[in-house]
Amino acid sequence: MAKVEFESLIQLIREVDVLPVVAIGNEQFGNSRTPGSSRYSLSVGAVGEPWQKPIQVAHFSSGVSFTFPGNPTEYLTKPDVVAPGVEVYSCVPRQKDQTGTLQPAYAYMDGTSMATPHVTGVAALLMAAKPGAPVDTIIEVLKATADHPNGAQLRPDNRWGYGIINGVNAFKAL
Amino acid sequence: MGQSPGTVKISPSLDRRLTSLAPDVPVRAILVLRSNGEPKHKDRRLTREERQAHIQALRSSAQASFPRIDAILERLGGSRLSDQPSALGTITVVTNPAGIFALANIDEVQAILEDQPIERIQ
Repeated sequence: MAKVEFESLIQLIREVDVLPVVAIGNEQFGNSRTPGSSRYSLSVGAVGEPWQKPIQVAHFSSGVSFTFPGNPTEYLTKPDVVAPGVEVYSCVPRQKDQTGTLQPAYAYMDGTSMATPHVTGVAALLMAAKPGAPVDTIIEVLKATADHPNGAQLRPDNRWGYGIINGVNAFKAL
Repeated sequence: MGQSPGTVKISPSLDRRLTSLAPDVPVRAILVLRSNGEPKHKDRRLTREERQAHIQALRSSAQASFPRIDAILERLGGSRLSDQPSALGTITVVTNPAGIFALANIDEVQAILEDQPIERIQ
C-alpha cells in the first residue's frame, strides 16, 4: 500500500488539479511502489514484450491488490492502466563523442517508467482537447475506454488494471 | 516502537527507524501541513489563475502553522530549512526523533515524510 505520508502528498497534488501519473514499479506481480499504489495516483504498468503474442503484461511489471489499515472494506487494485513499456526508444543522458563533445543520446529501454509517459502524453492531449474537463473525468475515461483482453466484465485486475489505454476512444468518450 | 497518537501521520517503517535512532541523531523531514484552502471545483478543471490562487491559499495556511512548529523545534532542537512553504504547503525541517514525534502530534501537521534521495525506477 502507499505509505501514509505519500498518500497525503498525492492528495494535495490532486487538490491543485494536477494529475499524478506514476509508474507502478518493476518488481513483478505481487508488488507495487509508492506513490503508484496511492488511491489518488493514476498508476501505470507495462506491456509489449515482443516474444509474447498476443500482447501480454511484461514479466517485470508490478501489480497488486490490497486493503488499507483500519479500513478493510476499501479494496484497491493497481496498476490502473497499462501501456507500451518494452524496447521503448527514448533519450538518455548525453554522451561524449571522440572529441569530448557532449552529443544527444538515445537508447531502447524497458520499464514501467517507459510506459508511464505514454499515458501522460495521452492525458495531456485529452486535457488540451477539453480544457475544462476535471482531472477525475480524465482518469475515468482513460480507465473506461482502456482495452482489456478479457473484456470489461472482470476488470480491473492486478496485472492489466483496466487495460491498455486507447487514446482515440478516450477522446471520443470525453 | 514510539507509538503515539500522532504516529498515524508517520509510516510504520519511518516510525521504527526513528525509534531505533539515538536521541541526538538529526533527521530531515518534510512536513505536510493541513490546509484551509477553498475546495476545488469538482465539475471542471481549475483555470491557471484559480490554481495559483489555491496554491497561495495553501501557502498562507501552511505559514500560519509556523509559530507552533517553530516552538517545538526550539524546545526539542532543530530548525526549518526554508522560510516559505512549498506550493503544496509543505515545509522541510531538521530535528531529532523526539522532535519528529512531537510534530506528528500537533493538528497542524497532516503527515511527515522522511526527506530522502529520489530513486529512479527504470
